[in-house]
Amino acid sequence: MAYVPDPREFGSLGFHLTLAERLELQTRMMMQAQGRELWAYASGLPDYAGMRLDHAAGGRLVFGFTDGVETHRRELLRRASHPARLDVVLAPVSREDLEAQRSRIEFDRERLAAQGIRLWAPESTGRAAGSLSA
Amino acid sequence: MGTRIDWQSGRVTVGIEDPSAAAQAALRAAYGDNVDAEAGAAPDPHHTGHGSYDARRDDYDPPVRGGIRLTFDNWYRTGYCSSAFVAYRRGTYPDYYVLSAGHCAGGYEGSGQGRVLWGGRRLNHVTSNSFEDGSYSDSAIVPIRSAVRSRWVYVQPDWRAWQIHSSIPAMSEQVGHVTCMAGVYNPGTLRAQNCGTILDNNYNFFDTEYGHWLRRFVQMAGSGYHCRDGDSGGAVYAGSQAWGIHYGATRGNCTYSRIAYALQAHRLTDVVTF
Repeated sequence: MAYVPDPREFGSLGFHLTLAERLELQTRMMMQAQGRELWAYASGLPDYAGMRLDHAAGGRLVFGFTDGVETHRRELLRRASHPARLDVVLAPVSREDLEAQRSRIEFDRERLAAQGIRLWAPESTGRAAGSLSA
Repeated sequence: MGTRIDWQSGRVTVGIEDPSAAAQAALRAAYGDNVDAEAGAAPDPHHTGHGSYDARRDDYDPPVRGGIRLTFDNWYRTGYCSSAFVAYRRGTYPDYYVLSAGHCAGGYEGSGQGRVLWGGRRLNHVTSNSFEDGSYSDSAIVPIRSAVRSRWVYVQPDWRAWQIHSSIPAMSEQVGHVTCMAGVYNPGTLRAQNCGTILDNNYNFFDTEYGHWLRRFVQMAGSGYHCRDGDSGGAVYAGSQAWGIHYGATRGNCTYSRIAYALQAHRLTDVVTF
């Protein structure tokens, strides 16, 4: 079904949006801003695993920790400006450990190639296992 | 580097050219049992359930739109990317082209450098590529027939004809502006498009794979504008205005080149708005 933005709708964002789109974008921007603030706190913790914005759920922030979930939940809720859209879950491996694993693999790129294991280059193939930016 | 971390499952996925049981075993022995090897477009653990959505972007389904899958098949490699917009060069009989990312074609151009496929059918070959050291855009163009041109972007399965009415002039973006991207893999859902705010509107960086410096790109906030392999070349837009061509992730943030520089690089008049 074709969709054409109504040109009479000109939101504060500077381009044409319907009311529903404007509200949706503003909510997402709000959650992005909150995500950055909370991430600044959470990502410095040793048991931090990751954060993502659950778009399918309407823009809920999900934080993962390998331990102390309830403690972190309380702290994040205390800091959150929109706590109703925040989830904290248990994760199996910390971000630090996952990044260390990945770094080792990438550092060994040439050694792996010598063994016949050639890593895909990013992006240009589009077939490689990619990484989300969040 | 073609590796992905999924913190929810606690796994590291390594994209390799020739995955085998032996390669898988070697990687796990060296790096841990939570390491997986795979080839091809790995399903995104955060955005499953879009099978039909992705498949339809793969289909040969005229006219040409932004945000559909293009396969670049050349001597250098075969890979999947996305389309950005259809553009034209003014003339008695205008020439029409589909824009994508230059690195998708390995930086090469010309009929000897392979072909570009759309839904399994041969579209054409890359006739111009701006991907070189110091470039202001990572862009390539593929000629198409007038009959299959469109001003549409494939935003969602039910928004396959998001109309483009103009393109933004060079260097008009400001930090904080919201812009959206339509690529093969991006995770826009329902009415929520894949959008984010601009972090840096004059971003220079070094492409480590190709050894190029790229300049005057635009970097997006990482938490809202999602991108992954295969989105390269995708349409970056705001409202009904064409803004850019998705490049990839740099420093963890999605990055695009400006549409104005891409048009200039290929001596194109504008994106198609008719």
